[in-house]
Amino acid sequence: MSAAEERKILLVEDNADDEALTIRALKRNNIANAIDVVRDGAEALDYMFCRGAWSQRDPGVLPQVVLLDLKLPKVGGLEVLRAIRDDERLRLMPVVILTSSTEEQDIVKSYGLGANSYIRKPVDFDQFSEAVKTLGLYWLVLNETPPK
Amino acid sequence: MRIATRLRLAAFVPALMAVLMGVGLFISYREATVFQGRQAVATQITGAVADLRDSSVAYHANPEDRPREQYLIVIDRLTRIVEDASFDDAAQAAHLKNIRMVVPDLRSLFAQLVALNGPNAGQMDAALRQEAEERLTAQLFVRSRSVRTEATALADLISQDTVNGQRDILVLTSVAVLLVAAATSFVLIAIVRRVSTSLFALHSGAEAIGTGNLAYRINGLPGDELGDLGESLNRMAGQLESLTVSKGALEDEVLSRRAAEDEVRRLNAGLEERVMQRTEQLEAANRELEAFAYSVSHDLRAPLRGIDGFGHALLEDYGDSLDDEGKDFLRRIRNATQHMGRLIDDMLKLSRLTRAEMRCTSVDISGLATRSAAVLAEAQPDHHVDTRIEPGITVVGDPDLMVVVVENLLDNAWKFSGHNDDAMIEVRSAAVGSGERGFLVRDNGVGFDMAYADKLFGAFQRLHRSEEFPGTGVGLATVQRIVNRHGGRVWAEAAVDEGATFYVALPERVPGDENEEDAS
Repeated sequence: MSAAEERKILLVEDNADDEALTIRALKRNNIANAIDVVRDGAEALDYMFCRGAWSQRDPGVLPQVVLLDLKLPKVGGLEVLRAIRDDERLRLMPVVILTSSTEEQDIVKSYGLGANSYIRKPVDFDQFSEAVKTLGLYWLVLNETPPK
Repeated sequence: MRIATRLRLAAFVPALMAVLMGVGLFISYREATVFQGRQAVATQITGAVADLRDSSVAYHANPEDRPREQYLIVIDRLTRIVEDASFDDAAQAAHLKNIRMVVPDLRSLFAQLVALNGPNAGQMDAALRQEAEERLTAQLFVRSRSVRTEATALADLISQDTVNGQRDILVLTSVAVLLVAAATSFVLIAIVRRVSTSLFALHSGAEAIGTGNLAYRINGLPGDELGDLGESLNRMAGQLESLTVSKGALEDEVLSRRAAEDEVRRLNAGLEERVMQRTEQLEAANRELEAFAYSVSHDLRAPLRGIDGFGHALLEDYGDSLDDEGKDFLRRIRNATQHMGRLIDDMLKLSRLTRAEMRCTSVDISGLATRSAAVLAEAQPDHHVDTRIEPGITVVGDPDLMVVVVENLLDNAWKFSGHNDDAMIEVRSAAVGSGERGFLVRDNGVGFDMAYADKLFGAFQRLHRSEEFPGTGVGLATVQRIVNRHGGRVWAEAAVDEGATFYVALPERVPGDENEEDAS
């Protein structure tokens, strides 16, 4: 298993534009980690618990960080977060909320459910890129993940 | 006549009776004395006549000096008695007169008899003398008997008179006493009858009034104490009647008030129901607004991010293929997109201000202004502004919202004095109404035409082109929204190129705030 495999990023994002821009911002900032993308909350849960389309995935490999949007089809981001935190195997996995809103209720609920960070996606791509760069640097380089 | 007077008069009647009886007794006593005197005279006369007869008999049997003297003494006594006596009654006076007439005859006849037996008696013929003596003696006897008869008749008359007089007195006294007693009884009975009649009328009246017939009046009572009592009862009944009338009116009043209260309660209940309905509607609208804002917050910004992001990608990846005009177009697209992003953000902020809960307390405006000015000065070091902030300005309000107010006002002042080399911003306390505290923010910037002052506080309203002064036009709308939520006022005074002054006045107690107690 390669280092890139070991240090994956999971992007939970339903908006294709946002997905493309996020990946572009990551690449642009020389973050070479592998990126898995799921496009709704249900698929995110499949990914986490190696079900459905993701049944072949190695459950022993956890993403280095999950970038989780809140407003998702089928199952909302907060529900996904709750499921992650409720699971013994997943509960220490770093989850960064990356979303459009700065609604107070979203921020409070996210932290309440155990989000590690909350980042708002700015409209201005320069700012967005800066934000992605910073979070990549922090969560993928500086931050030590909990031991397996 | 008053009852008391009548009773007082009735009390005098026994006294009058006593006086009358006393007078009768006195008269009777005096009459008795008079009768007694008269009877004594009669007795003396008859006694003297008897003594005279005894003396004449004695002398006749023994014509000595001593019987003679005796006779003369008796005749003197009789003479004195009849001379002294006097009677009013004609019959008695006639008897007395007869006696008086006879007494001198007795004296003269006895004197002649004595003369027969005197010293010259021997000179007379014995027979003759005998005859003369017998004649004289017979005459004396006749006269004596006549006196005795008269005296007896007088005594009888006097005796009779005494009996008659005493009887008359008794009769008169009895009649007087009876009359007075009858009069007393009559007066007392009359009083009792009148009093009992009055009492009966009073009793019936009191009972009638007492049982509720307040219109009853006691009539026909005399003008005495009981009449007065009746009048008092009538007055009392009258007052009770008027009281009853006013009581009735009061009861009516109470009833109508109660009805009015019920009506008010019913209306209040209706009102409460409507308020509840409106509140529910408002809450529903608020929830919708919140959902809308949430949706805007999430969904409206994503496309903008796409436009800006791909515009950026285009410039970065294909910038070489574009000429300068093409690049400029892309930059304009990105600027517009970012501006719209800011508009959305400001709009969301504005909408959040109306939803956030307020917690009012004393807020140090001077401190907020000082920090705001420092932040602005740091952000734009090229723009030198002379900032004058009066220390110690405080208002009552939500501290977070007051930060927004002060920041927006100072930001505005900073922005619109940006073209001025001697830019000056002043924050001072302002004279506002009683029960209010206020402050003003003044700048010497471009100002504005007061003709557009009404547009100043509208959301997304701008009085300047954004190329000239950047901004979304939400700042003052935000300020006004916050001030309104505090129940305060905000207004501006300005002239073109002469700067602008913004006034904020906030009540010292914010209405409807649960934490008012802290606001001091």
